[in-house]
Amino acid sequence: MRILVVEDEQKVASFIQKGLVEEGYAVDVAHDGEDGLAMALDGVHDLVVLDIMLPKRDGLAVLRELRNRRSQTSVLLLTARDAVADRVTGLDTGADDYLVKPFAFDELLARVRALLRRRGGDRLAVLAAADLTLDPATREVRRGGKKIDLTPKEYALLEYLLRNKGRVLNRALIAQHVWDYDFDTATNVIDVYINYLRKKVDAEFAPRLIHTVRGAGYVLREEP
Amino acid sequence: MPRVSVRIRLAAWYAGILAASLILLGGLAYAILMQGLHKDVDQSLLTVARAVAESAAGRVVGPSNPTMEELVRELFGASPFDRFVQFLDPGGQPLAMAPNVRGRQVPPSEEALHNATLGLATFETLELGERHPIRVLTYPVMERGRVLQLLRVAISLEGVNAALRKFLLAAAVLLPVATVLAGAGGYLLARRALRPVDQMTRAVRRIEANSLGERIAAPGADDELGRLARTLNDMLDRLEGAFAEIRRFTADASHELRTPLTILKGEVEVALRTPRDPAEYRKVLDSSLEEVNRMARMVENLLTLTRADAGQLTLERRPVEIGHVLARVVARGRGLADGRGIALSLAEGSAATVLADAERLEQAFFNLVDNGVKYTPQDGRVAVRWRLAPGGAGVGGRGLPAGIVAGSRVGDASETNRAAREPGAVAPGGAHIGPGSVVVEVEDTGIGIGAADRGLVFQRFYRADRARSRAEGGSGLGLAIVKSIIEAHGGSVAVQSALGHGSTFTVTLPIASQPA
Repeated sequence: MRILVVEDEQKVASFIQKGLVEEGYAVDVAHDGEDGLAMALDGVHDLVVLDIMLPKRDGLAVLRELRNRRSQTSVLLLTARDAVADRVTGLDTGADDYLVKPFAFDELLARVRALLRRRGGDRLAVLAAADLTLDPATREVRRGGKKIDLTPKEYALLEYLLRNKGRVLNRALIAQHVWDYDFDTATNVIDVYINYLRKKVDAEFAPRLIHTVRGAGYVLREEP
Repeated sequence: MPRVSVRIRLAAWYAGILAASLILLGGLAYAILMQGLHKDVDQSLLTVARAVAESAAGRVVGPSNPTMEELVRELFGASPFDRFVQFLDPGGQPLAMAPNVRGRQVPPSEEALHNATLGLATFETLELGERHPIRVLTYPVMERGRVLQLLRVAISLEGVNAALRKFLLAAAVLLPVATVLAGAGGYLLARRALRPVDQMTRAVRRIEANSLGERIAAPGADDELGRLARTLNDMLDRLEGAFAEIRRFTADASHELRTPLTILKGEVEVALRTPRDPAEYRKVLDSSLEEVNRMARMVENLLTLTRADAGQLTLERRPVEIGHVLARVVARGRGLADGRGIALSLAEGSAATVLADAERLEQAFFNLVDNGVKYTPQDGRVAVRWRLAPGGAGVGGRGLPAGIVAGSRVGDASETNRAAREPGAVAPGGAHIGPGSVVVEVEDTGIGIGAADRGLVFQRFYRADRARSRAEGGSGLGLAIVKSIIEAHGGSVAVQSALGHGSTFTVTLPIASQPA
């Protein structure tokens, strides 16, 4: 899951990025409204965390432009203003959710999870395939009732595969959604992580869930 | 009485005043009418008496003279039933009388007899136990200086009394009717006149803190009510402005305080999510300290401004050489300027002593230098200079009090401040007009301030470029504090600026009259 954080206050952007990355999200940061809009229009992010008070172009203007350009990306507004009118304006402009500063980081994470869940058209809190389950809230992964420990990146990769169950995902797509702009797509890091994941998730269990589609990419599906 | 509405009170007053006037008028009219009627009666009695006396002249009328009736008929027509005429001898014994005497004899009074001997006529009103009193004239008939006979003419006052009673009856009916009509009319008029007041009351009651944008529909006319409505609306304008200002300030203050809080909370929460090595914890603590300091500074600044607003900014005012203050300011700013590659210079001016709190003054000028350095790009310059100006008003003399306070030295500093706020005020302790001002200029070659922002830079939390200011660590309060401190010293501050070329802040301070 890849998230864009648009926030002009350096330190705020930095701790949000750090916290999200540690949760396994791929995170990009923009420090003003124009950069933020340009990056959001790339369409590679699953969620935009958008501050309202931004230099060059304020958050609401960015949001309006995004929606005008038919962008479907979920937007979580961040602001220091908590007047009801401000919230209403934000939501009516096309935001999916709203968080007032200062916020509890756990709440930010919970809202991010909720927005990503909604986006996948999947109201269920726990993702599953055969006897494999993944709970985004606790980040707990189990197979056959047995708990599996994953690194943040492995977890992010598995979550992405699970959310796109049955769909063949090429490496570029996986790179876009699990890694950020700094990722060099020329490397074979994705293959390496797929292998780590297979060892932990598929090796001791049946049926195999992660399949390689030659010349296309990878797919997670229940039937062989 | 306070619970009774103005309408009812006005109506009661109308009715009361009208009733009083009517009673007074009626009483007067009654008196005049009564007097007039009685006068008429007396006049007619006299006329009768004279005519009878004249036609009877020379004839002695005996006790049963049959010509008497003829005589009376001749004089007064067919039936003078309400009058009687009687002749008496000078001693008061009846001689002859008219036929309509009602059987009862009333001898003339002593007074009448006495008057008659003097040749004077006497009018008397007699109550004979009948329904109406009788008016009697005792008239002496004279012949060669002596009283020949007495003539008594009498008339019943029935007619007079009937006329007066009719008058009273009419008055008794008309008075309450008129009073009630006046009261009702007064009530309607008052209600009509006061209806706009009711409407205004309702309109004003509707307006609350969050609907201050509403206004009272003012009656077009330039009467008392129109003026009242306009006055209320003007007051609402001022209230709305003040509320908007407070709202803006509160929103800004909450935003400014929330940013460091967000950072503190967020960084600490993220740090605590997983175990980390000491270096990482240290980084978080350093950052937290920075934010805590930022908040402490802002709270300190806000307190300074609040105290200044309340007129409680305590100033330890002593004679201070302006050159010393500026030298310290420039020395403090040097490191800041060097770090950014900016040339900070101080041009010496003539010696000038101001009566000031050196620490506060230094704070104000440092804020100006700091501001100049922050908004000047690399290789730019910030120049500080001062000069003397005659009189109370300097270059930016707008808002400078005409009478400059330079008296009381220590002790009641706040008192001095308050006095300094009012133009022309004289401080306790024999202050007098200062000999001139010192004008300090802080000029930079920075980004400048647009015309739209120029009037606003001294407002709290106002920043032409928010992001930039925050990146520079500014709180948006520096210039507001400059203004507060300088004004508390009886001075003024102004700014000239050209966008892209730089700004010049001009501070004008009164010079102490007696350098110590």
